[in-house]
Amino acid sequence: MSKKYDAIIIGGGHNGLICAAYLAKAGRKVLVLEKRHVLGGAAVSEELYPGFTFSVASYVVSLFRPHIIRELELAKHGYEVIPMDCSFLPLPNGDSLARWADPQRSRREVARFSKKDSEVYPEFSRVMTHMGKLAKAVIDHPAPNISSIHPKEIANLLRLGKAFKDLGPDLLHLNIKLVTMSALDFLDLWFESEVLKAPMSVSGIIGTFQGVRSPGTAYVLLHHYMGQLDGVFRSWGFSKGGTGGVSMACARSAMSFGAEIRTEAPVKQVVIKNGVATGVVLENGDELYAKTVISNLDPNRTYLKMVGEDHLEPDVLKDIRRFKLRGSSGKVNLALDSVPEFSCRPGDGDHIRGDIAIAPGIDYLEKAYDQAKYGEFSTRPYINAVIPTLTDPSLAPPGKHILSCFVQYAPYHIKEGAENWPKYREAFGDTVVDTLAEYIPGLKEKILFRQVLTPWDIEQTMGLTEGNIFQGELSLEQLLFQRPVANYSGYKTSIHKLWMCGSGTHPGGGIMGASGELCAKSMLTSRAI
Amino acid sequence: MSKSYDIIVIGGGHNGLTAALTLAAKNKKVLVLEKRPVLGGIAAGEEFHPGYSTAGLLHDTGNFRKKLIQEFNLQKFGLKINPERPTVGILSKEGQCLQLSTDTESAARAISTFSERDAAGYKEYQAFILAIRPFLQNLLDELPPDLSALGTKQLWGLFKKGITLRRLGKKTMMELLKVAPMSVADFLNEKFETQFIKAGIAAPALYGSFTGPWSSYTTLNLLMWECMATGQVVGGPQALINALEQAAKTAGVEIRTNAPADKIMLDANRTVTGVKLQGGEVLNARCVASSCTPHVTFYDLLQPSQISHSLEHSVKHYRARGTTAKVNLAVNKPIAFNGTEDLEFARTGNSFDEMERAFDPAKYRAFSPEPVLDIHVPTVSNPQLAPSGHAVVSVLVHYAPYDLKEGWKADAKKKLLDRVLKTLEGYSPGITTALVGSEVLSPADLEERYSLTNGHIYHGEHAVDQLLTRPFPLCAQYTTPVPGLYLCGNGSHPGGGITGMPGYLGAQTMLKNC
Repeated sequence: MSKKYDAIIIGGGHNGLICAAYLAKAGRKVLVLEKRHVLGGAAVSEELYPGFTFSVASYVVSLFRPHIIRELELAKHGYEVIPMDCSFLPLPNGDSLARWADPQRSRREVARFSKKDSEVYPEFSRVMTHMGKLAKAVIDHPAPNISSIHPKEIANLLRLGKAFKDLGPDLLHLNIKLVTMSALDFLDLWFESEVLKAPMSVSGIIGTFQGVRSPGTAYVLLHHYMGQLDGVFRSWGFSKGGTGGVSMACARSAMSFGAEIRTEAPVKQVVIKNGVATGVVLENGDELYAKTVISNLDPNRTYLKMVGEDHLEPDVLKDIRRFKLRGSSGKVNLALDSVPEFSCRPGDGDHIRGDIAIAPGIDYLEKAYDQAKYGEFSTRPYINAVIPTLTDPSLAPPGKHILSCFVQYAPYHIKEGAENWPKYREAFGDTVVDTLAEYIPGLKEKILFRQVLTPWDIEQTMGLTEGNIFQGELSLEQLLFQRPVANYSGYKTSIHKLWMCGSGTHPGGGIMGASGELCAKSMLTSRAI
Repeated sequence: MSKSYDIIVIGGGHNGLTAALTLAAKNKKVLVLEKRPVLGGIAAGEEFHPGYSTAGLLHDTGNFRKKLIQEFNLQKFGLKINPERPTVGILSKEGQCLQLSTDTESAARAISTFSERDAAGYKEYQAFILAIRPFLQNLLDELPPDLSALGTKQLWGLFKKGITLRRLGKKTMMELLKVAPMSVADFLNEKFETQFIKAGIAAPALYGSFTGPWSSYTTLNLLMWECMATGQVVGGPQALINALEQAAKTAGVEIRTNAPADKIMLDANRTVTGVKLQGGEVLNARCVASSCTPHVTFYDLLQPSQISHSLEHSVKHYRARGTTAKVNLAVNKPIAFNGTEDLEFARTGNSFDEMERAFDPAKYRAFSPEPVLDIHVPTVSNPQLAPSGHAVVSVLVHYAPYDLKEGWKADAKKKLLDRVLKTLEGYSPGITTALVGSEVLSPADLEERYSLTNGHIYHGEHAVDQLLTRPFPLCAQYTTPVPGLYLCGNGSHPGGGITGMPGYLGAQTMLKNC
């Protein structure tokens, strides 16, 4: 029998690494196994083209929990996030809207489109920030288990109840609206100008298979106001050295506490003896044993591939099968010969140093969704693009740039079947470039290299089932005590001594780190390890 | 000095009449004002072509609460209930017709001719409905929990609802919490495989909401509808109105038709003093109960200066995007659908994708190329609504948006009629040639005739944030910020359809205060 660990963590994404760091810091012997040659999972930097370092999948940082940075001393290990200053919306009619971190500057821009909206804008931010604080009370603790009468669970419920009560009746009702309304209906409560509503509404649909008019999408708007860099609410930022920088800092922290990390070590299966997880088998046949096993993979992969149906009770199997993943987005990464300039606002000024949204109207966004519903990628998609090289020139050779584009909708389940995505990969890439070229003259001539990631590719390379970037849809029935499934939401699984620490557990997706942290802390406080 | 009343009820629909009856039964002096020459509102049967009548704009009386029938002894006034839910024909384009009867066993047998798996799924589905019914009925049949403040009383109310939920048992409770926010398509896909059956079962979830079957939270609407559905009133909505009218009159309610209210009168303290009619006549009352939509109540019946900024904001953002039109057809022969004769109720949908495609154009202010139809043939059970041997086919058409891009002019209505006939022709070949007369009521017409804001048949969308705190938190307990003014229409809890509950529960609140 080989070496014995306290915990083996399957998957070296940022959550797996954070979980490892917390456990190692508490003196546990931990091994992280990553199937790829690079760490980070979806938060990864790779040199895909000589001299160009891409944030291949996830490309901005916002919700990363600040106490994790402190507790794991991540700054010491290279964590550095540069705040983004602007959200830029180019319009096909030659106009544009830039929203800045400085509220006064934003107000002046918004006032060009609607005086009324410019007056409401600060109030909206204030209310959302206030509600973001409630959301913090939710995401910084394990989800309450509503069916338990254990004193600890009741205390947890009461804590949440108090946070709600403190909101007062008006905000409480607004909160109900936020959870159940569509992003667009919710914004309609405040604003009149479509130029403002369209780019704001898209934060409600990122990573979900829903449209801006779909009920339940307003909730994700809040994420924009929970972004918390060094205590400053609602700022987003670039990780120095690409998004992989965050993961690498977590990895270095974990190693400094004594964790062991192996790359190119794909796990084939969890070893289960008499209903108890005892270790893992690698693809190469090696068996490794540990007191506990922790999966950073999504719920589908964890239960159906790593564990296997034979080990699951019928109720659990049913719940896992109904867990919705349905990836809806793709990624196009471009290496450019020179800076991309927008015809509506030329130059390489501050306006393109933040994120750039191709979202010129509500109907545009909704029509993009309509196509996806019936199994096609959008011929004119919503694109969220960044040019990280303007902020962090070290990512590319001097004068050269990276244009990193998040693209929605690209449904995993295309009509022709997901396995046929490779046939449509380049057509999808062309659609994205064509769409961007309508705003950036000469874009095509600047392209030195192009990487197109369809949801199928995201599944194949990163192991995210159906290419879902959040390891499962963020819809109400898949949140809190139901993430990933009722009865097994507290990072435990239905298999004894097998735990989960990925985005498929509460509180869910984004580079937040909370799932990894809360999993480790739950294991430590319950003396499971 | 004119006569004075305890309470004036504006609107003589089923809710206005139920409210008046409830109040008069407790010895209140009540007057009902109806703008039209007939009572009933959307429950009134209408002659739309000489000799041909419908049973009502809405035709489903299965949601009318049976406890009201008992409490007011409506049977004495001629009301008859067919205790069974009626058989509904679910139609497919391929010519199939599933007759979904009230009895689960026989319905499952009918389904099994299409799919054994679906038959098992249907039993599972009905068992779930049965299990959650105590909780949802309790929620819908009682005053909504008060969320206007969070004091001890309100928290106690919420706690009690929580106990009712917990009593379902852990498994049922968790399942309800899991499925309620889901899209109806996801929910039913778990249980059924046959496209047209799923679509037909799902259809009621979409009525009165601005959603397609792939939209989140539509399962909640379906579950609410299923938990309310029971036997139909014999003779349809009009028969119900007749009984309510007789009962109300017997209880001493005074009813005036052709009496459109112009304004609700307030005194210097902004307290209700009565109602001014459009003719100028002023009627005094201590309280006024409006069964009109929230928009009509606050925008039309009050002066802008009489409502506060926060109330104005709430009304403005109360969502009531009408998406339903009504097409009434007079035909000179009995009508069969997919070869099935004597079918009083039928639904189409065919598949979730087709229903979703029917919804898509509504977002861009156009109507569906192939609408989803909710068909009622009242002449099956009530032959005197048409000349002997003839029939009336009355169709609720989804989706036809109120704010149609080109406006609801004559040619738009003609186009809609053509599309409905073309769709119907697929299920009932020859219906077009049998046509004697027709009527198209666009959402704009519904607004005009029934004062339904934006033509919304439920006085406002059934969306989660517009349900328990319906229409909005400021007025969620049937009270309003205007002292003496109460709400008792479908814009209040528990919402649209012919249930009588907004009227009944609104009256309960008034009895405490007026």
